[in-house]
Amino acid sequence: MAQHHVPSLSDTKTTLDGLGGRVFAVSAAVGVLGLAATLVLGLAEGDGLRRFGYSYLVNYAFFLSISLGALFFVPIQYVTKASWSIVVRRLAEVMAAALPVMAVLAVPVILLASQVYGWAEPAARSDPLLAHKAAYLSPLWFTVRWVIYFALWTWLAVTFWRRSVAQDTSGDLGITRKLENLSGFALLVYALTVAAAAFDLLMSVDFVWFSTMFGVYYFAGGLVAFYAVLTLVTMGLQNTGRLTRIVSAEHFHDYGKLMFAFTFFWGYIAFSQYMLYWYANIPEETYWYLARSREGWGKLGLVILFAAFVLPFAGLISRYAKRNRPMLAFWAGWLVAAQWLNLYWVVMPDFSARFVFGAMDVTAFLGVGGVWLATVTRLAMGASLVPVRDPRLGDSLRFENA
Amino acid sequence: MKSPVTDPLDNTLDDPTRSPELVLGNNDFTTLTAKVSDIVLERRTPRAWYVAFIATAGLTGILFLMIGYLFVKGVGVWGLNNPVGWGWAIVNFVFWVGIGHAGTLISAILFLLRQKWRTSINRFAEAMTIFAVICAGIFPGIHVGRVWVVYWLFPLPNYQAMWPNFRSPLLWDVFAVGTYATVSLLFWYTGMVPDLATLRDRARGKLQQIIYGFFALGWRGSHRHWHRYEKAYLILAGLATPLVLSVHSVVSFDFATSQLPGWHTTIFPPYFVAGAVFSGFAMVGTLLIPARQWFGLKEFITLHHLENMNKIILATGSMVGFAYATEFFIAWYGGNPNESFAFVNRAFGPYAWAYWIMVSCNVITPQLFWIKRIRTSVPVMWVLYIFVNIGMWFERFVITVTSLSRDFLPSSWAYYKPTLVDILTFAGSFGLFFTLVLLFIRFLPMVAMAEVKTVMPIADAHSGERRSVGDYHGDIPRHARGRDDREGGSR
Repeated sequence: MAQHHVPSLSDTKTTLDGLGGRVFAVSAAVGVLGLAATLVLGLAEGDGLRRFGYSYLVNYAFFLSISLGALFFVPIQYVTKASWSIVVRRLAEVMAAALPVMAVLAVPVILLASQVYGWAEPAARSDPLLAHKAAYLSPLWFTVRWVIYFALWTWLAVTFWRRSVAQDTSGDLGITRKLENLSGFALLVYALTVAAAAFDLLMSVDFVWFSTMFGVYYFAGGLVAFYAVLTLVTMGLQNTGRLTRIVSAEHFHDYGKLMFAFTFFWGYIAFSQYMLYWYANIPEETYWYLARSREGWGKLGLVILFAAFVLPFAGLISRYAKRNRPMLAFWAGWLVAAQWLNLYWVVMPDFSARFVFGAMDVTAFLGVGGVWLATVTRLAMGASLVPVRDPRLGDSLRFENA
Repeated sequence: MKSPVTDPLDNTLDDPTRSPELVLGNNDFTTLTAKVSDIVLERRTPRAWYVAFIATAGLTGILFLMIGYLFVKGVGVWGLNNPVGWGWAIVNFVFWVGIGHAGTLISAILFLLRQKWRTSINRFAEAMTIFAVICAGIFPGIHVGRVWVVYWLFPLPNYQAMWPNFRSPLLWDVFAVGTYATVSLLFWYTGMVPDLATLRDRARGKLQQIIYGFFALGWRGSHRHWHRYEKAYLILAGLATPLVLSVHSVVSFDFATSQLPGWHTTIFPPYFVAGAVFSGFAMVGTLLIPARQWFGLKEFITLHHLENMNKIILATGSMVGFAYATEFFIAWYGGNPNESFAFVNRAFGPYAWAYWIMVSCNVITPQLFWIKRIRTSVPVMWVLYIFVNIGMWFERFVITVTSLSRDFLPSSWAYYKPTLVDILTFAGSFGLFFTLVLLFIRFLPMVAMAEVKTVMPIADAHSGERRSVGDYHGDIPRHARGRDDREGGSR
């Protein structure tokens, strides 16, 4: 075959249309019901919503990490002037643009801080280690920092999304140039805020423990989950006749490469963090891992080692797996689960020294996830699923892994 | 809008509708081959080359003299003493290993990321990698004290119960750096085989024909040769990619597995890798700019290439700055008084001068590359590269020495100073490095001719068509690659 057909946008559907309304309605209903069910279950625990707070935090951190992964992906495409990704960039834009709603969903985390975060518990006030950083880990400054994070994230996410949508009608090349100029700065802001947010959201659950790597750890896991979700969303849209042909095996091949690369990167970061603390064996650092290696949490840790690193590494290494649709879908779903488990393992041992898992964890997943998906769907309904007049769209449609 | 570009060698104007040309000046395959291989085969060696070679060979001589003196006298000739048992030798080792990273990043990672601009600079960067690793390898070797048992670095059969300690990151270094050197050399050499054949075919002297012919491994440029070559290249790129991370991560473990404040922190592995790439690109730039100037390679190593390198320097330099900030923050947040002392001591203690050289060179200097005018000004960027080189050496100095010189026991605190032997050994390692670079420039093709040809417009069967469309208006012309379709087409 010496020639092959380059697909065009007229070959497929590029809007959500009626599907959007249905997905929105279902996911919003699942979200609201899920959150309500979690709340009811949480109240039934009779522990002042402590269990609820932890379940909610795991799932909130998980879906936040996906949106933050998208907020990394979009500027990276601009800063590198990438062309392969143009046909799917809009999907990432709307996932990032869900961040303002994630800001609203942060309210329970802040309100329930005293149930979840050690530093906010009244009993901890006499702790000399906390006194050292009490100014930083105080409800007031914790809240202020979250306002700052979300102000910056919202500004970036909405700017990239709105401008890109505006280009659909105007075709203005100046938009591409402006976003390219913004993208480098956006990544700088991103790195600083995401690392600090990871310290606040997850590391400070235990206010004694610290790791300089923790921000990178959260970022790396979030990016794995984001690429996996992007893969699943693209496939889902194609199953309904949208984005068919224009997103080809070539693009999925790249999704596979990115999932593989960031699985490896996550493993590298997780290993380095663990190994350095294990090796130096300083009690104030190792106790965090010690709590996660006993009473059932150790078994979960081993599951994560294989589920989030060893098996997907082996499974995604071959070209065949990356271009085989069912296999790629399998690994994408697998990685979503693995990264969720990882966050569960990071957060929950602070709730209970013994392994726990309950209905609340599932309902909180459905609740936060439903709201997240409803938001993303709603945002995607307003415009084309493809940045139709991006100057590099032609290259993206023509893209081949050479 | 910017004013129209008048300089024909300026391809840095950003136009989102198309990619910048990577080869300028109306070159085709023939002129490219001629311009690159004539440097080696036809043009007379410039007198300046001889002058430079004598100078660097002299410095190399000093290196070996110093090593000889060290072997005779022992490591006491260095400034090492309690509590600073690791001084310039380790600093220089980490510095040189780091320099090498740019080569592997350009040749392997940018290859996997389909960054076509890498083709003009990868040969040079890979050569530099090998030479830097050679310089690096010397230092741990001569640091062992009892050099007559230096082979104990390697896992020898256990006939004297003398197994090396596998739990020591110093041993991991032997494997990490050894693997890195091997794969880098293989990668460099494999990529050079077609170009060596070109030199063989163009050489007029018998001796040249024999030598280049020997190393060209019988390359005939047949379809089968190319097929296997490209497979081998891809596999080596895949193998080299984790090595970019692993080598400097393991080097960072030398420090981070300890319990020493300022050394023991979890961000060290990626932070060292980013710093290594940062310093490596600065060194590549330091050497490439004079080389493209003196050997007429500006059409191939264009301003666009240099600008891209500067963007990578900006990105990795910002990562390094980010790591400094994170370390400082966690040193306070962690609440360990030893840790926060180590950092305050770095910034305001007896080595504050070194710390602020490091910060100004590594954090402030690369930030200037936000400005396009600076990013595309050759003299300015060259000066900034020098600053980065200096800053990255000082980073390793600050890490190594400040933490050791003020340890847990104030009565043993001391101010470490290098001796003349330390200084001359380090200067000598530059002599060795530049000697190897000069030999490379003189005897091997500086630009990967075969690879650059693949990114030239005439390599594309549709070079007449516009590569991209400004506005999307329906169907794009059918596009054929002139190759078999990858998805199971006719074979």
